[in-house]
Amino acid sequence: MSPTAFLAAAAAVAVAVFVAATTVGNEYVYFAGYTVLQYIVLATAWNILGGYTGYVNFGSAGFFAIGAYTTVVIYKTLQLPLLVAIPLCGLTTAILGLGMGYLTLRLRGVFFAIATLAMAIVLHTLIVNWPFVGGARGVYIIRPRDVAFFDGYMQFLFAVMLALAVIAVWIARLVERSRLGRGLAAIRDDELAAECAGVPTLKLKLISTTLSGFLMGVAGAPFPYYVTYVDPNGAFNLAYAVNSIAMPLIGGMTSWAGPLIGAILLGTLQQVATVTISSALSLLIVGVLLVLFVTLAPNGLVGLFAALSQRRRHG
Amino acid sequence: MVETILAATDIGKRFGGFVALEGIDFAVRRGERVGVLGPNGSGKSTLVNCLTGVLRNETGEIVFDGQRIDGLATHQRIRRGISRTFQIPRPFASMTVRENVEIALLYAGRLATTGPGVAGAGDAAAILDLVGLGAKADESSGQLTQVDLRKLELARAMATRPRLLIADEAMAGLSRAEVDEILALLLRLNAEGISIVMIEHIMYAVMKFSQRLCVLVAGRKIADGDPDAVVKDPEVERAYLGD
Repeated sequence: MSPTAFLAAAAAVAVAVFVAATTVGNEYVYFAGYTVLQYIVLATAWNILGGYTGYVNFGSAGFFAIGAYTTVVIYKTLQLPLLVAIPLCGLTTAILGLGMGYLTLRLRGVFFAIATLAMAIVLHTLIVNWPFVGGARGVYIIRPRDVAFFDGYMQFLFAVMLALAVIAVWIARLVERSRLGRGLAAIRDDELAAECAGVPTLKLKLISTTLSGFLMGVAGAPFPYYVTYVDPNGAFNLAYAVNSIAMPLIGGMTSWAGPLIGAILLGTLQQVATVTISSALSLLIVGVLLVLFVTLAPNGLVGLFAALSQRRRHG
Repeated sequence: MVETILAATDIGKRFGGFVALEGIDFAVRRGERVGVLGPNGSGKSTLVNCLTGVLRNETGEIVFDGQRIDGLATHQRIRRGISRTFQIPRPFASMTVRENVEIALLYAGRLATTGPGVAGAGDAAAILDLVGLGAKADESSGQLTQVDLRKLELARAMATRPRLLIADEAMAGLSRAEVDEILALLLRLNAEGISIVMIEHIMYAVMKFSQRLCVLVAGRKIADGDPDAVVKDPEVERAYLGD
């Protein structure tokens, strides 16, 4: 399927999802659906660096929060509409990603992961000590009362996140099948061998951190309008870092479908658990599933399906 | 046209207090087959790493095809026409044999201008046929046998369209028949005009292959010249057999 055809198909699915959501006629569908969609963007973003390139980023929450706080800054200064703010948030975290890449990409494996975690903590501390964006107390965001074409602001946010998810998955698929994506896969398999095959590894890794950072910031951009009250503990929540790793891992890290499946499955499961049992339990579910998948199906659901269908074909 | 394709002069490299290479002069003429011999730890692989930019030489300069290349990143040197294989094969294990070769074709094989995703499928097949992996093109590269992995290393190196190929112990651990197979392959590549540097322990292969032989001992070059004369050199004998 060509990239354009895929985008059209994804958009059609998104419209169908939106229509289905409106027929339920309950605001809560948008509220819960938004979270799942946000995780699709976040997991897809993480996977560009983690799955395609093989660099594990533990700092997703940092990127997500900087995206959200960029919206807060824009809200308090330029007061631009959300749709204009989103690309600016992405730009901010793209630069953050590029900077992180420059500083840390000489580190490999676990050391890179630790550096990203440290970066998230540094950013957290910075935000806590920046009174303009609310500091540790947090900041309130007032949603616009009306929004054109939509039946309430929550429905609008849901549609925005739906569109972002389509774009994120489309970009991921585009990268995966391009020359860039094949170069990234070579880096993941063996960085030195990749360099010796002519792959400009540093440049490609920087593109990867930048693109991944961009999409993470985009995922966080509408967050202040979604929660209407942003504080550092909410924006830098561990759940974002854990989920953005767990979802691609459970879905499968080598293709765009992996994080998508993982986010839908795990995101929905967490929403259901939060409502029916308790919100604390939802992270426990992630932990248990993570352990199960790492031990039983390290290539995720996509890998599991591929292995099963191959076995069937060979008799 | 420059007669000398590679000229490295006064190459030096230290690891902390350990002198890995010191004052190495190493040149390769166009179309030449050079053997490099030396005991373990003598600096052979360090030399390859300095020539290809995996490590940076601390002293000396490297001229390839008339241009200074020390200071260039590895992938830039590869694109200029130096290629190498690894002592321990390093396949892209998640990819098929064909995809391994396509990476090199895409990024260094001067097919880069054909646009995203358009690897020259014909080119990959031709290279795989050349090294005798044509029938295994769609197999996972992680499943190959040792000898096939060596062939894949060579195929990937060939896909970068090198003018100088450095084969770093491409035959270590292979059987005699397999050594002959790789040797025949290297000779065929050389016949196509590629200069080849062969780093090897297997005396039989080195002597059969090399037009000129260099010997490294403890980071210094102690001999360089006609293979038959070099192996009779008393200093070389002493390095290998002791006093």
